[in-house]
Amino acid sequence: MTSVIIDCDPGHDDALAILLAAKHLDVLGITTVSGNESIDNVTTNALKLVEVGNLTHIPVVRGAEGPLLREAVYAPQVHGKSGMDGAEIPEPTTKLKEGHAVDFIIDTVMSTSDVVLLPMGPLTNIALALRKEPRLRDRVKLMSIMGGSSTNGNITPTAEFNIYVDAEAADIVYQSQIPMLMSGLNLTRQVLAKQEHIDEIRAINNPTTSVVADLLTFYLATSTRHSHDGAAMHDPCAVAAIIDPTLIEFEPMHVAVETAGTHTYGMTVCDDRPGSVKSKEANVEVAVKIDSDRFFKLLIDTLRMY
Amino acid sequence: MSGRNIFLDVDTGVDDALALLLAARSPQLNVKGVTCVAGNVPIDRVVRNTLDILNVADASHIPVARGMEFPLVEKMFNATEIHGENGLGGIDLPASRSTVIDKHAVEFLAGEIDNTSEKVTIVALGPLTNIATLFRIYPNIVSSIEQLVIMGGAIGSGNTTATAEFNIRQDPEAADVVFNMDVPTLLYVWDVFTKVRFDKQEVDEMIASDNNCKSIAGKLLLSYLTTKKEDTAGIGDAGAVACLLIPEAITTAVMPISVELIGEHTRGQTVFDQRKRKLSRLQPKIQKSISGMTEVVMDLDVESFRNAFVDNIVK
Repeated sequence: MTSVIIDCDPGHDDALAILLAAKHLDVLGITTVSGNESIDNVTTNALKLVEVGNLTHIPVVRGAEGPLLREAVYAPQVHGKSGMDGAEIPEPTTKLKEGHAVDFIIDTVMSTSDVVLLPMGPLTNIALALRKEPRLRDRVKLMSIMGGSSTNGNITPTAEFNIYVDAEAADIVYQSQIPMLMSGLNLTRQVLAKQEHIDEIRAINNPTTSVVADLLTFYLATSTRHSHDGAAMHDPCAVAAIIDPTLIEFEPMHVAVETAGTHTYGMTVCDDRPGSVKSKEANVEVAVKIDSDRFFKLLIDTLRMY
Repeated sequence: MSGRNIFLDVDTGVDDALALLLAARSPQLNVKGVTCVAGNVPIDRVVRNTLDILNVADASHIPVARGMEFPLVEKMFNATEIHGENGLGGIDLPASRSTVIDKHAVEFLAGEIDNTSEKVTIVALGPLTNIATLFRIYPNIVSSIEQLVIMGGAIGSGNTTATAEFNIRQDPEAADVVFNMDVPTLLYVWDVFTKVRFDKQEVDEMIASDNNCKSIAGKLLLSYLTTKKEDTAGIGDAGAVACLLIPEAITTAVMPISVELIGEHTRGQTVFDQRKRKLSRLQPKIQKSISGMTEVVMDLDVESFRNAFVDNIVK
């Protein structure tokens, strides 16, 4: 079973990603990072989720409370004030694992072989870990990140939220030369949860899935308000890429993170020009296509396991 | 002569030459003048090529003016790897006996537009240095422009860089000036620029034609087949001219546009806001203000464009 660390900012789609990962992968820990909401909120949400899924054996570790250089930007317009509105979940009694997420990532990767990192929020923790322990570069087997886009952005015309929030951190990570799979908006918007998916999940009728259905109902409503045709399964795509790589098609590309542009700050600049004109080596496997039906089968079958 | 009055601003260039042939031969268009700008090749070469190709089109009466020799801010770089050292893919045309007029391109355009009561259309096929300079010196001139058709920019990937198209990358500041002006603009982007193509057999048939314009067009396309080592050759800039001939064959979208000037990886990128619900209104701190709106050619009917090209150059 593949060993992973989930670095996240729950987040409705983070919630689904965690529940998906926990039944297929050996989740060594969940680290939190300021992103969709404040570090306090997303950390509380992570603890709630391990209780909702009976996953309290997985340690939850609190991470960076803001980006490397910039002021934090949150996404209450998508995830609500708590960062995970829509479901009544009791205040968690599970305790955080002591220590900082950055040190947890370093210690775990240095002591465990072939760890795969699953970053689903701004890349602050991962960048700090890479700077603090440069040997991580050779230790991390693979990263499967949700972030960026090879087409349009969401927070700006060109930038996706996770990368935009901490583009300097993203720049460090993208230049790390660690093998990387990137599930950007160009991919994740191909998997849209709709009312019929929510109905199917609610019908499973276990304590976990009723919470999931409530969360998805809220998330679908904010997505619809933003003129989307459904609730994009952003973070679960990055998990699915590890569980079943045959779901997704990848193209190797050189990807650079723009950190200076007036209109393009936080853009993942994906060089998808025809081979002959490319000047730089590919550093990222960019996910370009996903089998949406099979993805939802995997997700819903997994939720039946709770 | 009847037809729509247009001025062409060119950096000739193989595909500018195709555009000049098409515009000069099309009865629907009345080319009132051609202005030259440095781009694909240095300005003197642009002037030479422009005069010679107009001569081929039997259109040496059209005034040709020499324009800006360098971009406003950016360093000059050419595209001789695509267009050959002479800018015409190595094809030697008979030297035209015509010469450039004794006026700078910007002064020529300002004077011509000022002297006509009708609104004019400008088709800009190179870096926007001449047009930006015109708009900065004579800002009121924009009210006399019916339409500005620009070949430039990219929605998806670029050609010069991952995100930037050559004409805009060559003079991003000029493009920024132009997109900030209140002129009805039709943008013929790189994404559609590459779509209208002819294969080797079709190119050979053109070369064999009795019609000199068609034969020269075939030779120009052949040079692309050779230098780019591709199976098909595109008409490039000529497609922007064809938009005026067959407007019903294009699909457009009006979108906010900005030119990225500062980006480390993105300088010269045309940034379009294609999001369904624009966050810019809600989060001014996050979203830098967007320059202006532009009509962008999103798609075109390839067969109509191919036919328009072949049919008109023989007229």
